[in-house]
Amino acid sequence: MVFSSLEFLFLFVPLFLLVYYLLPLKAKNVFLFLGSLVFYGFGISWNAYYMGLIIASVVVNFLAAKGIEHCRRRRRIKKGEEIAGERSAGEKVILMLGLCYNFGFLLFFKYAGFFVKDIVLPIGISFYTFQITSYLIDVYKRKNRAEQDIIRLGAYLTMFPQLIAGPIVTYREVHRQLRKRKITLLGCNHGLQIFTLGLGFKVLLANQLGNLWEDIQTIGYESISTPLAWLGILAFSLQIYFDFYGYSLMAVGLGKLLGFRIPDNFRQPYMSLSMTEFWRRWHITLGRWFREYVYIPLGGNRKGKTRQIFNMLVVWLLTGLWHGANWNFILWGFFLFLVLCIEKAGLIRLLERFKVIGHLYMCFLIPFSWTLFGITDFIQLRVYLLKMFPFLAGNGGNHVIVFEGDFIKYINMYGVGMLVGLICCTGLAEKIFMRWRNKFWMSVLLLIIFSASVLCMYRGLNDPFLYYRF
Amino acid sequence: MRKYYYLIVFVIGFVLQWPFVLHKLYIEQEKSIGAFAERQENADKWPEEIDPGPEQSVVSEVAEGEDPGKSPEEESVEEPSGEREPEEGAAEEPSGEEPEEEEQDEPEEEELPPEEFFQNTLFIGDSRTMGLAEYADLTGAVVFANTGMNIYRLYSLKNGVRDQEAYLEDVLAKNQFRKIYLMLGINELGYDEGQTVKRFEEEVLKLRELQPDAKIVLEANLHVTSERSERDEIFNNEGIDRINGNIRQIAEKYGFSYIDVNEIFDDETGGLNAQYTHDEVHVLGKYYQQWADWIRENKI
Repeated sequence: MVFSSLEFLFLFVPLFLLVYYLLPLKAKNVFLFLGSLVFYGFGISWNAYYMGLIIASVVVNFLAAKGIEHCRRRRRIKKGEEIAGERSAGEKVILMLGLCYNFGFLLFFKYAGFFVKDIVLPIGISFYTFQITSYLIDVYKRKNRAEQDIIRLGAYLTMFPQLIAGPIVTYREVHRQLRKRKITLLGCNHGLQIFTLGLGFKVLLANQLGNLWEDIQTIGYESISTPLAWLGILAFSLQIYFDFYGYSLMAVGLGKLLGFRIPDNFRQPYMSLSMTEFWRRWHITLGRWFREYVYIPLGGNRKGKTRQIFNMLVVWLLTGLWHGANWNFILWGFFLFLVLCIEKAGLIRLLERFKVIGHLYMCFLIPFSWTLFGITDFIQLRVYLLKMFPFLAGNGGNHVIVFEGDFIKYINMYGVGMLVGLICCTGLAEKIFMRWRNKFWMSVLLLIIFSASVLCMYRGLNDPFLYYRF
Repeated sequence: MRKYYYLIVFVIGFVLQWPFVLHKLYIEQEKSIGAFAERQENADKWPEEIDPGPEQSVVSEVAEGEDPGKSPEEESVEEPSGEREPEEGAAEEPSGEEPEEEEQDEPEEEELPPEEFFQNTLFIGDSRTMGLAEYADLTGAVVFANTGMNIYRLYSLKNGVRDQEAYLEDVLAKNQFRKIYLMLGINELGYDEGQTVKRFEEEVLKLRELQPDAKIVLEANLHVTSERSERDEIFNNEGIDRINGNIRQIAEKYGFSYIDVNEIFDDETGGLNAQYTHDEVHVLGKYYQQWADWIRENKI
């Protein structure tokens, strides 16, 4: 059950909220936990193993965190006082076992695909594994206490707004709200506004632009022209952004409706002047996770240049791997690593001083990096890249007919959507929204966006292509 | 108050939309339960009762085998067209013309070199024919096709092919064609079948009237992949085979030619070969040329 489905919007959410608002706080957490499991159940078509897996994740990490604290307390009692920063063997062992458990299942499900086909990934496992390990590591590092109430921990991990596609919320960010949260009409109003904006981005922009990318798959890369190849990857870039950004906005909005503050995941990444900046503004909670739990523990930039570059390599290969079990994601991660190294070596100063150059540079680099990301098959990737850069192909005999001027047809079909998308990349929509969000006409406009999204879903029920028309 | 505008507006809008959406969800639910039950039923009586495929295909394969104009590899086709009642419809009301579909290549066409094969030819069809126009070399041909084209909208829908006349009426008025290929039927699958067949017949006869010198070739609709066929309640190969059977009967009744491109694109399960397609409905751009070449080679 995704957010942009009629079942979710018109059955799950209203029923859930109705009960949720009537319950006292203590019961709210129980209900949030159970309701989220129901939500998850729809997503995994009630696969009992996957349901067991997420519940086990809560239980195991709950016990592991308590175990770490228990070891610490025993040691304190034995030794009288604690030496700052030192951890007992017991704490270390429990942390290691906990991490092995969490990443073991993630690795198994995610990367068995390298060797065996047809393993279905339990939905959301990449996200909830990262969340729960951040909790465990923070307990070990004493950044937060172990949660004493398993229901609260369960509610944190499975909370349906962020369960299947992030943002990756840390326990520290929400633990106060798990104990005490105020739900106000004002918060609900704002939450609904943000949710509607996100829904519009997802349904009205991302889904439509996704059709162009889909059309190109239908034609096949061999038969497209160079302009269409660029148009296609531009559409893909916009689609992936508005899809993910829209989803994150919806999560933030739903969080507000429940009384939680879920962190922002995007800050107009396409307006960045460099790749370095881009990754501080794109999927912020993921970058933050890797920085905090991989890059800095490895030594970050404090152990010399060589070590820093090695640490970056590790982070970016892992980032690539996190996105999927395919070699192209490793290639993509490695490419980003190279770009970031070059920028670090000095390019970034040039890009930031001359903004026009920075934007032009990113105009090329963003679609190019998404090409590596979006095409999982290396042979197909080669075909597509040669279409984008035909001068690299030489005169290699290509007999496949290309439909002359195909891009004109697709500009006619998708031009308006792409233009709106490009404008929205600048953050203009958000600025307008923030400036006039208390105006009546803004409320009407948002309702129109909501209704148009519903209409799209209504007509294309269970069908991503809206109409069956051939 | 101003701070809660959206909350108020939203709740009103939401409540107004609610009944419509619930109704829609209810209908979808019923449908999917219905489809599920039907599938269960079919699953029970699988082998004997509802498996017309293999046996019939043997029969029709023999019939096709007599055809001298076909190349050897085409004989390996498993399921040419799942026609329900074969010859009977053809018997009634023979309209004077000899059925020319099965046997002979016409001598006049053999004289044409391959590059002029499509001179003065008109293609009419839906998005699949549009793909043919865009990704195959049809030098000399006029194409009238659009996404979603069907027999009911033949004269109301605009041409999706660039640089050509917008409406079929004008296309027919301004040209004198030697040959007309027509492939329609898949978009009609949601409509009443009897109605569609009747309309199809009328439209084909109207074409013959408007273009008396043209040889009319009715094309069987391209299959979808078997995988798609299984999960789609409407646009599945069963429906396509049924409409193709009807088109074939019309062809036989009036002596039009009938060709079935599925023989080069089907896999062993009788659906569109998954390797040739991404969306399970259209062949990839690079395969349209094969389709055009196949028409040329068959010289129909």
